[in-house]
Amino acid sequence: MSAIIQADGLEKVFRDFWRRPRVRAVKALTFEVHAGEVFGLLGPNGSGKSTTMKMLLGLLHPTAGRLTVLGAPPRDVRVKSRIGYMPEESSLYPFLTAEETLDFFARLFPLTAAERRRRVAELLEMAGLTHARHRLVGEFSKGMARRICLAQALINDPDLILLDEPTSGLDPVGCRQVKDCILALAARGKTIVLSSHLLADVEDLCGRIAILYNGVLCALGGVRDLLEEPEQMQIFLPALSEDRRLPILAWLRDQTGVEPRWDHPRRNLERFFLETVREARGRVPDQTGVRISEEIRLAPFLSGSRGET
Amino acid sequence: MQQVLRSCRALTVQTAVEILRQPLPVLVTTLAATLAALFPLVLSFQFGEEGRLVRDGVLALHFTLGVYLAAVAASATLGREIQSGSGALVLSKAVSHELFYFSKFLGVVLVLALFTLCIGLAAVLSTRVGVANYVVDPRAGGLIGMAIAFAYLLAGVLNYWKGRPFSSTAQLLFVLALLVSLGLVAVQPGGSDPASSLMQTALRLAPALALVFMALVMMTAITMALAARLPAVPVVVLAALVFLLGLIKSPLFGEASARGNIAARLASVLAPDWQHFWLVDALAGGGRIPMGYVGWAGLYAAAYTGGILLVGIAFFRDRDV
Repeated sequence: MSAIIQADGLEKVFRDFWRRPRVRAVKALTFEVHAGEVFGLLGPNGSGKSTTMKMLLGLLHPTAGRLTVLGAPPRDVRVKSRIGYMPEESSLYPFLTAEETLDFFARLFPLTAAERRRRVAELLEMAGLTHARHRLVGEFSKGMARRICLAQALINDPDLILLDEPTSGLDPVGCRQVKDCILALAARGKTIVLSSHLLADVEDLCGRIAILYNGVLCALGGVRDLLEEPEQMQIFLPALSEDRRLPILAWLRDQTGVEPRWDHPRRNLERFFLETVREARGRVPDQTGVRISEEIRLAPFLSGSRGET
Repeated sequence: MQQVLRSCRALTVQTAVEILRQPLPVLVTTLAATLAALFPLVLSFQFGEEGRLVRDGVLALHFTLGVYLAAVAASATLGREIQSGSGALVLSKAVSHELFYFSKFLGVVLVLALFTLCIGLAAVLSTRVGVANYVVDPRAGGLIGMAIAFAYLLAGVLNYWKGRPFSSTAQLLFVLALLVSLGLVAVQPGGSDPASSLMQTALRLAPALALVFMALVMMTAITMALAARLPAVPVVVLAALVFLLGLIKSPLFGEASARGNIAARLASVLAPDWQHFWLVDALAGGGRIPMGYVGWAGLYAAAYTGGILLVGIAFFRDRDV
């Protein structure tokens, strides 16, 4: 599998006004991200996730180490034309409307006027903001701002998508929508790097993760590999009455020599919440534009990724 | 290359729109136009030289308020973008640091051009208010007031009904209203060929306005170079100091420079020379500013601005955003 991102011994030192080292935000970071995977950068606040993201985008200069993105230095404009970025804060222009915002970002890529208009309309529809396209972004709620921010990251149909805390500040409905969108993009072959300190989100989305602490890489690998407890296993069965359950447990006890535990599996709280809201929505008309559907509808122009460097 | 130009245009227009949608430009323009309309009423009976006083006053307003607008807009547009993260977002697209910086500069210049157009139109109307010694034409002054009222009222209505941004709409409507007012004054009955008289006034004022505009462009470049590395407050303070230095460079460095002092000569070259752009005295007594002079001043402004822009880009290109 070809490497889309190669970081080797990456370091970032922030300096003060007198050029003295102030903070070593990232220390000797080495990792690779492969084409078509969803890669998570995980860590507590101040662990160097956003700094790493910004180095991947060429916004911060690495103090040391080697970094290539899509086969070239990240500051190369040709590389940047294949990247979509959603920052941690929705740093959009507050005096532009939603439609103007997407149109402005579309103009930074070689798109015809007709193609630009089509993509803007499709992304507004995907983000559920068609009704608010003439409203100033500065007047948006946090959830709406995050959705328009995600939409702008996709305007150039990128091969590599960098998402910095994509679900930060969103309610569970918005969170689910963004996560569904990320999974749908991954299904189309896009390479996605996301940073988060929300462990459940990362577990839901990522195939591989890197865990950073204080700028140091502490763990790197597949989520399944890292989380699996090979010394234990669980068996799923339909609910059994006590007279059928007890002999099975006795047999298991005989075979393993330990007392087996049993329990009813619980529903995921997120799923329960979304079902409750969906039911409520059938009774109360919605004005937020947020869709709760079984399947996210990506903008049709978003193609399958080329992936190669 | 074609895409670079398209991106540059998009960034320039976006910068101008973003600045115009904030209240500062329309307020500064309204203040300048209101004072321009009031100048003949306050001064025309004192010296019998109402035309010159109006011209000098309006050009002084153009210079001082323009410098203020240039410094605030330039420092805010770059500084705020870096601070808020919107600059990082744009730079994550297919946009180089150099293109981003240059386009921001052009956006501010576009706003200053609109400000210059507004104040130029108000100046021509204002000189018409005092048509002759001890005689005031209240219609011309009233038209400036009506233009302001029309722009604000219609912008308010469009904001209420259509959700159009108030500040930028008012600014654009104000230009439109001033143009219509000028047309009305030109065709009003009575007087000796008012259209020709207005045209003469406009042609005499245009080079003076163009010279001040060049100074504002230089000031924008200086402020942006400072904003490439420093936060907003120090930028405005330092920009004000550079402006003052440019005003007093002759008495400060002139003598030492003439004696061959290298440091003084260097400081004299580096400090902007605003005197090149303040030629209101040349308009006195029916005089005109030669176009050749405007050309040479333009070359100086272009060279100085280009040099400062290169310094600013050098500061900005390696900046962490």
